[in-house]
Amino acid sequence: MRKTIGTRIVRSILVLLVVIVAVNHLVALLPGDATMLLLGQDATAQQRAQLRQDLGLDKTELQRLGGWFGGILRGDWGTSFASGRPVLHEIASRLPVTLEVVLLGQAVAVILALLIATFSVRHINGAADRTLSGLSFLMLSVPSFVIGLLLIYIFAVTLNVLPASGYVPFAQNPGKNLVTMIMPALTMGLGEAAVYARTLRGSLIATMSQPYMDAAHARGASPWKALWTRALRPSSVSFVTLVGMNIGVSMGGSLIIENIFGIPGIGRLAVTALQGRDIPLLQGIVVFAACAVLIMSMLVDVAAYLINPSGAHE
Amino acid sequence: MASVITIGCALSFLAGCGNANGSSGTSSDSTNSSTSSVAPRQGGNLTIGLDREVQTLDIASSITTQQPLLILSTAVYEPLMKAGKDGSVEPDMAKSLTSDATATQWKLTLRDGLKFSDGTPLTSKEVVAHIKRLGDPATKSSAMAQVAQIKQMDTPDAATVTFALARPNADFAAQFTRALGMIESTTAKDPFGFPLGAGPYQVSDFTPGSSVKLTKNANYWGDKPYLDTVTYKMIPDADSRFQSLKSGDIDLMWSESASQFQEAAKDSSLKVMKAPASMSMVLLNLKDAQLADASVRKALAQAIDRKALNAVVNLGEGKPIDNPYALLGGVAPKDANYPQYDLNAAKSVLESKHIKLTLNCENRPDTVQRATALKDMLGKAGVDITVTPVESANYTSQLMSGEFQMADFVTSVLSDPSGAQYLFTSKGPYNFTGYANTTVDSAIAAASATTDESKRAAAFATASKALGKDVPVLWTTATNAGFIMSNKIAAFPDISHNTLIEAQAGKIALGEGH
Repeated sequence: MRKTIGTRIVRSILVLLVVIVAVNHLVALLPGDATMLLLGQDATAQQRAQLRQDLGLDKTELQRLGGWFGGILRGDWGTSFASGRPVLHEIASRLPVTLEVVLLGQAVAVILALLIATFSVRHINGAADRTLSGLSFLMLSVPSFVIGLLLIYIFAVTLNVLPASGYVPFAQNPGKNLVTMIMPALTMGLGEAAVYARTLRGSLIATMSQPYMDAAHARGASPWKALWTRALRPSSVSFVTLVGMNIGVSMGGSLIIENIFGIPGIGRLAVTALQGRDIPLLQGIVVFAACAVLIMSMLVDVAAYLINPSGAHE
Repeated sequence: MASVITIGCALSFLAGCGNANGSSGTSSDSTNSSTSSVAPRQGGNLTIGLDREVQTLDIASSITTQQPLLILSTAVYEPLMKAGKDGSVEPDMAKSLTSDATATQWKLTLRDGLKFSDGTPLTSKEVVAHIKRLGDPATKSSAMAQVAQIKQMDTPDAATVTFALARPNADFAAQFTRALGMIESTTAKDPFGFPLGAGPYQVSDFTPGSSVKLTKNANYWGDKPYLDTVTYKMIPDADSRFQSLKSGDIDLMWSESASQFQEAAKDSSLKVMKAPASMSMVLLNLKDAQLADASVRKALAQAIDRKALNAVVNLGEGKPIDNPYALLGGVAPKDANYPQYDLNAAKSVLESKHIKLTLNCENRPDTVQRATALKDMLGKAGVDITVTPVESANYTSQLMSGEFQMADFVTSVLSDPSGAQYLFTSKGPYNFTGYANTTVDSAIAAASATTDESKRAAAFATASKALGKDVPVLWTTATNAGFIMSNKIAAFPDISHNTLIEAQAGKIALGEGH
């Protein structure tokens, strides 16, 4: 296991290096002029040239890469063109928001998936199973922004029981914070639950056909008890892997949910940075998102090993 | 995330017929008006939905002085001048801003008792320091170019600043409605790192990307604002913002959507305050061989039914336009000599030429819709148009480098008379078409060099007629923008005749019982 973790760390560092080089190159290819967006069109060529020099935009791609990489190693990820604040500070200010949306959304998805999958398997090929499968496909088919706007229309506009948008920091008012998170969490959770439920259902069906499950029934375990205590754990490896990877990817920000519900997360920050050609901020967010995926990927592997140590994990 | 002002918002040039020599005026409350039969009351909190993220409130940022955000920035940094009707400007924090006959020597007189929110006086010295800061390259302000026109500033006393301009500018006063006139302290900042202002409110809470909360400024010079607090929520998605208004999460929002204006007008719990905020046109690259021919350009103009375009794209909101001064009320020319819609006349010229052109537009639903409608209209006249949506961040660069044949262009820079010089003079910074006409250059320069209204109107008419004959742009429509608000708002400034949409939060009030 230790050797595996060591290898994964080395591989992750290599992947991160590739990401850093790639994003540095890609932002250099972006059309548009950051100085024009900052100074406006009536700035003179001289003023724009001076600003380009001040922002380091006149350097070659290699020089910018070297400077940026050196900064990352020192803990300096650069300064946002738009706000003038350190990039890490900007990301850190949005991270709790995105983390909360992601964790609550995934919690909704996991709980729903467990309920749907276990119920489906318990009534396999029956009316309930077919209905739940149909609902899962429906949830998979509907885009998340449609789900979000529908929830707003029902709960905010029509029933007026939840706020349509906005965010209240948890530290400021925990109750209001959770209320503002209900619809975003549901929007994220409903779509993901469908995927998780299908995956878990498949794994459970395979597990249920194992001989030791017959042995459990023979020893007197009820179908539900056998399902939850015997079948669920060995069936969870793919499920946990999927959840973990989704958490990692979502840490880069869920733009649609953040936009619809007015949540100041990392996704919205990324779009603002892209539209404003705020290159240091954009690069910082991409590298952060890559780090999140890599870290979650390693944690998922460890979790998979702990769930099923006898399985082959690589 | 639509933005009405794709280009003009970075500029803070604003309206203006500068007042004639020696005239001064106190700020009038003629722009305030009650919007309901319910009496306005003191107190309460108003929640406003903004259409974009605000990373900083510093006026030096080009974003903070964009029209949709003026309702926030003017609350903290009340400007020296404010927008009046039909492109005019009026004193606000300034007592007066007047010029000599040459429009090169200007005198600003401040009101008594101006203070920043920490109680320190706002004098002529602070005005000069603010302007110098905007002109400093280290500040990276979009107002740098405006400051560059000022040759010299003097402060003969604590309430007076004199300006000597490098060249005549009769519309200099208009520039004090935005960054130049939104005086920030250069020595003190609030706990959030923003310079202190002298407006009716100050920042009490700021969550980047989420919300800004303002509370009353106890040291404000003017009438105490009605509202105790104003909260601004950043909700970039237009549909989500509108749903938030309908559900009561917010009380007021900026909108540029014709469909939202119409839906709100039918909703008894909402009301609308709007005005023409921008003008749209199609820029023609005169360096292109197909467009170098004036008869072709005239025929293209004749192929466009601007009334139908307004009905389809703007749902009848807004109005057709045919000259750069169309929004400016009394000084707008009566006859701009612009080609009227005549499809047969257009066909007779265009069909035989087999013209193929690309029409660039910003990648937004409204601009793509307009471009598609234009493609259809020009197609009936025998012109083959390919619509190419371009990402907003890249759009201006493309225009500046001349990488287009036709380009949809939306701007608010024409909300005051000085705007035409940027687009239509041969050296204008927004002259993306490459147009050059000495008659237009002379007329616009003449208008800029005098504060005599009748001479200015005559110069505008001369420029408009020359533009109407040469057709360097295809005029389309002026579009409305403004605010949709809850009925619980009892007082709101009347912006219906403004060309710059700004509303001072200090003049907004909730009604009794709300």
